[in-house]
Amino acid sequence: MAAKPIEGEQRAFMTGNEVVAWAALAAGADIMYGYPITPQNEIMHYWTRMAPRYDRGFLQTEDEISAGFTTVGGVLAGKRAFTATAGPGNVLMQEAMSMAEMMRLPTVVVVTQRGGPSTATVIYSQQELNLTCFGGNGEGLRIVYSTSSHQDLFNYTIKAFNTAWKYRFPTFVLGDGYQSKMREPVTIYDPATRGIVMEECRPMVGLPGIAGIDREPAHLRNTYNLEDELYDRLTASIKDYQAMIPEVVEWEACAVDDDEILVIAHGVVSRAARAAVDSLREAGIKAGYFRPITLRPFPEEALQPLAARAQRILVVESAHGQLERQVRASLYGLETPVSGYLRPGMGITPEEIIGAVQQTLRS
Amino acid sequence: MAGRTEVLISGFGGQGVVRIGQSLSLAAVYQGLYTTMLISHGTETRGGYVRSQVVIAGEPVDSPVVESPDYFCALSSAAYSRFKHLVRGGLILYDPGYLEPDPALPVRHIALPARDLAGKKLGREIFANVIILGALTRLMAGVLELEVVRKAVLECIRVFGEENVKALNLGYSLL
Repeated sequence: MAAKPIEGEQRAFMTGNEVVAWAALAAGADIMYGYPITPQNEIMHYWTRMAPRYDRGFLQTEDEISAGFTTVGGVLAGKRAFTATAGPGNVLMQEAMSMAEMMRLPTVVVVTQRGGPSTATVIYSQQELNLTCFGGNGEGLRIVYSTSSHQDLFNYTIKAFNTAWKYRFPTFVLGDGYQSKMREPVTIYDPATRGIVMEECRPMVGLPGIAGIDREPAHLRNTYNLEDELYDRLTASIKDYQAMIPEVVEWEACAVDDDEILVIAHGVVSRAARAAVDSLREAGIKAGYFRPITLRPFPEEALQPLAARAQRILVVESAHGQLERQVRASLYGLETPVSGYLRPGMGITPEEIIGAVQQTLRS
Repeated sequence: MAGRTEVLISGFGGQGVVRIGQSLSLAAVYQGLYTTMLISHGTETRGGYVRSQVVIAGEPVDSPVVESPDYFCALSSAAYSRFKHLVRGGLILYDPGYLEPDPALPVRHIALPARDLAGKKLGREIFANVIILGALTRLMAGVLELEVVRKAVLECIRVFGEENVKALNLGYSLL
């Protein structure tokens, strides 16, 4: 039995990709399947360097289609399996993740968003929100955590495994190239020291006994004969998903008691939004801050009363309205005007947000 | 004709469920009627559920989905259990070689041992579906004509023409 990768708690200074690899180790991930793509590469590199020391597995596949499906296979075999990708790789993985949605398989995918569409840049964006939340030919029955810091990357990578295995929906950690490559301090820890119990992973295939005689058949199907069969299956999954929402939905907010303008951002941009709101408050401008942590399910019930109280809403994102569309859909029927500071593929500073807020208030 | 006639045929893959539906619908086309035919099946070539839904009407068909079939051909136990409750005013034509009817169901049932007959009288079980089609044609008198269905069968099933005509006539003569 190999030693624990992390004993107790340790303060570290490392890149986001390294943090993800440590978190997966600490979470007891059994195997990573992967195919190289920037800015995700170092998750794989760190994993392959460290995994053998702790009896963990790695398989480099021929492409991301295969990486997605081998992750599905690992999970079917009862392994705490994961993969990581970005951009065009995320596109290719959607077919496997659709299958995971259909078959209720607890896959975990870490996405480090890069510029899009297509190859675009290898650097940064928030343009994979639509794809990660709703990619595939299905209903988006997934959980998507949007991280904003290295601490988030560590915490939510561990949490993603537990959410996936508890609720049996594919779960994503949505980071970005900035978080991947940046170094910042982080506390890494053994989940047990924080009272985090890892969900048990059980094989779904190759079970002992004869199906239908010794045990119930597993009914792991991704294909159906009749419309009604599919409908019944999906209706049950949608019901499970809706029942799960209050247990997994996460967000954070501040300065929302008397705000005239509510700034909404997710991921790394939420850090700039938070800083901008603090500066605006110091300057006497009543700005508030809201950050969805789960982009799917979206925290619409939490957002609605805050949005109703505000006089204006400004959505800030490194994409052209992917978050804004979610916000608008959540707030349909509300009269608070919504506008966006939309910078696809670009980093966003607090100064820019302050400027955008001032302009919005003037208009 | 006026009104709407709904036919639901269901069994498992390989029985010719789709061919029955195609032949009925094509016959309706030949007779200048409006018709739709839906097919539901899995990815298998044999086994699983197969369902064919045929609507025939004197005016354009609005929904192609069969709500309450006038004629339900049940060719497997699973199909019978799944769809028998859809039948309200109609009747169920079934092959007793595949299923036991539910005595509690207050719907007219007609047993037609098509698979057995096909084997004994025509030498091969594959003609069972056309025997069923013949019986259906008889039941649907007033909607479809035997001669037109015969033409449609020959068009839809391009092999074993002679045997299929025999099978059609056999089914027609049994009811």
